[in-house]
Amino acid sequence: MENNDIKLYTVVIYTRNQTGLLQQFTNIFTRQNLDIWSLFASPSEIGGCHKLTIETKGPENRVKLAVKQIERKIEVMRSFYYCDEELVESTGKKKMEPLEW
Amino acid sequence: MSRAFFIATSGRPGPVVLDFTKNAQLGLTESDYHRCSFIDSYNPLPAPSPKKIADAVSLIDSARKPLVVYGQGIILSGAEKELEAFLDKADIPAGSTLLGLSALKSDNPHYKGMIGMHGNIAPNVKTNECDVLIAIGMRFDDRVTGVVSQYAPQAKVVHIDIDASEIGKIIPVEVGIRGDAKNVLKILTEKIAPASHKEWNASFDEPYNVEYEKVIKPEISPDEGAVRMGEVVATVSKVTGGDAVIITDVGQNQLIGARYSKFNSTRSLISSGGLGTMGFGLPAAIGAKVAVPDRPVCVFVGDGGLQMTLQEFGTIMQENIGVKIVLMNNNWLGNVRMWQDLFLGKRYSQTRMVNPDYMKIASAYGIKARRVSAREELEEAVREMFADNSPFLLEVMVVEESNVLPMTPPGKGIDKIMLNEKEWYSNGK
Repeated sequence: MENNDIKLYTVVIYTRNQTGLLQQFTNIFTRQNLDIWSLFASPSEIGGCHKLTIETKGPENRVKLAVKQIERKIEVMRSFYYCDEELVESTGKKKMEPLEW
Repeated sequence: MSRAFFIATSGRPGPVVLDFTKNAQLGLTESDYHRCSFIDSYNPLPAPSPKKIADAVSLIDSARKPLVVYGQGIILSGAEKELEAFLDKADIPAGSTLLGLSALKSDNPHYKGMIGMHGNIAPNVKTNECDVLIAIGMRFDDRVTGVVSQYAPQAKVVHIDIDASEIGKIIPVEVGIRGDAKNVLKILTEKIAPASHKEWNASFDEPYNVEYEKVIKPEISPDEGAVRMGEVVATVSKVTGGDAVIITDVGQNQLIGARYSKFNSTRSLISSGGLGTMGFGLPAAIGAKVAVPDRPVCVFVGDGGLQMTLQEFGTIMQENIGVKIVLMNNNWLGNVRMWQDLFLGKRYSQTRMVNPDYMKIASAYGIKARRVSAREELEEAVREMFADNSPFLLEVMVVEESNVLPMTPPGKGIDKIMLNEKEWYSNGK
């Protein structure tokens, strides 16, 4: 089962750069009542693919739902979320894997 | 444009907003239409995860009191036969949401009625007794669940939906399978072991019998008083043999229309569901009749809702569309009046209706019409309405102040059911 304690999560979104995307992302976070703690957008190492990294604090079920809705409502390539421990682990042992739903 | 149509017609179909600027409407351009077949991160037909399927199979095989609740996803996916085969093999009783109605025939032995606020008692009460709840193509709308924390707290939930963002949104799930209902049901039916749940299935009879005696019988075959909405709907079902496409507007006509209509084939109920848009019925019926001109199409509408899209009589006249309009006139906005009666101390506000003469309105549009006030005339009038394929308005003057029951009042669990203003359902009483 999910742990629904309030924690800091990192949401990573890969997308093609299109006008108006940021507003659509922030709408979804607002509807889930999730604060955005930091936001960073840049081109990624893959040509034509941009990466957004959003830090947000909230319970896992709402972060997970926001990520599902990003993939459903907005044209992105993929979207993922991680908590801090997973990010640290991923650099050493574990590969970053998309969630299975 | 092609992307809009791709999204609107695939996966979980639905509306797409297209916004055309003035210059795009008036300008000239070369048109070269390419059908869209791919959008990033949008998978209209996701393959179900084999691990999740295996988890669901083991839950279903070990269940002693399983219950299926299904919604419009079955109809959209064309999974009616697959659902029937699944229920037959696993011997599982099933309840339908409002929009799932007609996916199973009304006389299917596994079909136990409609779930939700104004649904049937048996599937609602049994939701809170089952050990495994299998939800297919439905979204746990608030009318279905009542208070969420009191909805099936004892059950392990298997949720099958094509839209990943619906899974786990309202009700926490044990197993969530993302996939098309038809595909998932086919795989599940192959993998589950045949089972028999005779006693569990039979336990649905007793709440049904209570509902029949206390609610259904007085509604569809009352001995005296003015005509009741239930008997109008039951008479239409009797005359059409359950073959008509039933459209409902919004309000008491919708709830009664859904509760007492019988269905012989799928895609036979069209309702705006949770959207609750009064005035939906008449235009929807026109659309349905154009789509299936050979089937009888009958819309149940109230005196409040009809006047919201009354101008569509013009379309019916112009195109001669053979829609059968059953106006159940109680001179109230009945559903709102009911809530004011039950929960707001009968402080009626803005719900009384003064109605025009609908016979004159119909005659102005050249639509055949008849008004019925007496029970004895009802069946004959309904037969007259369905005698040919031309448009017809049947106005039935029904009981002015009547409530749609049974009902799970707002703010209560789905198994707390009012039988009438004084009695509550509890363990077979």
